[in-house]
Amino acid sequence: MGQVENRMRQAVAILRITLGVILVVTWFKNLQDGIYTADGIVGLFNYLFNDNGGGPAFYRAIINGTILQVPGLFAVFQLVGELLLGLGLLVGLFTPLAAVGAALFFFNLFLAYLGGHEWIWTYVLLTVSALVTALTQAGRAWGLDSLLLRRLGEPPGGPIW
Amino acid sequence: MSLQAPLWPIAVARAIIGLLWLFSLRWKLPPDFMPAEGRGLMDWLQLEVAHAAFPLYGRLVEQLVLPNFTLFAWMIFLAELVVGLSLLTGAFTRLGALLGLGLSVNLGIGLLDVPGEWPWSYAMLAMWHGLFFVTGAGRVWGLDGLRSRS
Repeated sequence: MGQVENRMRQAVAILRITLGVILVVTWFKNLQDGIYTADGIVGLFNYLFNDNGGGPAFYRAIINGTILQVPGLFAVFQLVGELLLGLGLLVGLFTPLAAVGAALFFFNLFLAYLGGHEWIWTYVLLTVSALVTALTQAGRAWGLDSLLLRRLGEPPGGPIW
Repeated sequence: MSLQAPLWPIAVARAIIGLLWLFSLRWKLPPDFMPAEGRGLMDWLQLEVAHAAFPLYGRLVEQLVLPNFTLFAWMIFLAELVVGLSLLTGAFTRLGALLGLGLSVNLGIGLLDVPGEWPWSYAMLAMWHGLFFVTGAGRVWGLDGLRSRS
């Protein structure tokens, strides 16, 4: 691998690791704040819908019809999912999958905060970063995906490492 | 076995972050650097003084920037315009990225303790400019690529 390619691989690896750190640090803070409970989830969406934008009408309807029907179940899903996404990106394991999951999560936040007083570009930045991480298969430098690639070669069922 | 990362996703990110800078000019447009409604550049600078994470930085803004507001406002406006256009078009990208990195770090330092601000936003912004600088991100889908071919 040439010097330029190597530098590019390492640059997107730093992007991946930063996203992983952001997700894991935020996960710990959310855990301490009690977000990953039924009350926490309901409280979060009440805050979003009533005091901070809450996104377009179709988004509110989807959240009301799904997540807010089973907030306890969703809290567990979010608790496990967010941690797995963060750890996957941090160590570079199945990076494209973890990054696509993170992109969907960040895009959800983008919709949730749309029209509120947050700087909406934060969520654009996060979503774009996750998508670039996925598309560049950023676990192939400084990540466990590089070990999988060396041992197993290109993944047979699509770009999952 | 593909070890080479494709540059085009980085080129798309470059253009989007160029748009970010250009959109952010909306609330600091000359001559008064204030939007029709909401906070303008002066309000944000005052918030940086009131909630300075680093006292030295707060004093610098209070004693140097605010008394010469028009001069600094023009400098900030033009710098952000240059970064936005450079990243959007991929022209002189390394220079634009370096300037953008400086602006992002400055924003991060200034807004670190301002209520409601999320410091990771500016860390991400700074990191992206570092990435554009390192990868020379204007070489794909950018004017830098056209220049190097001609």
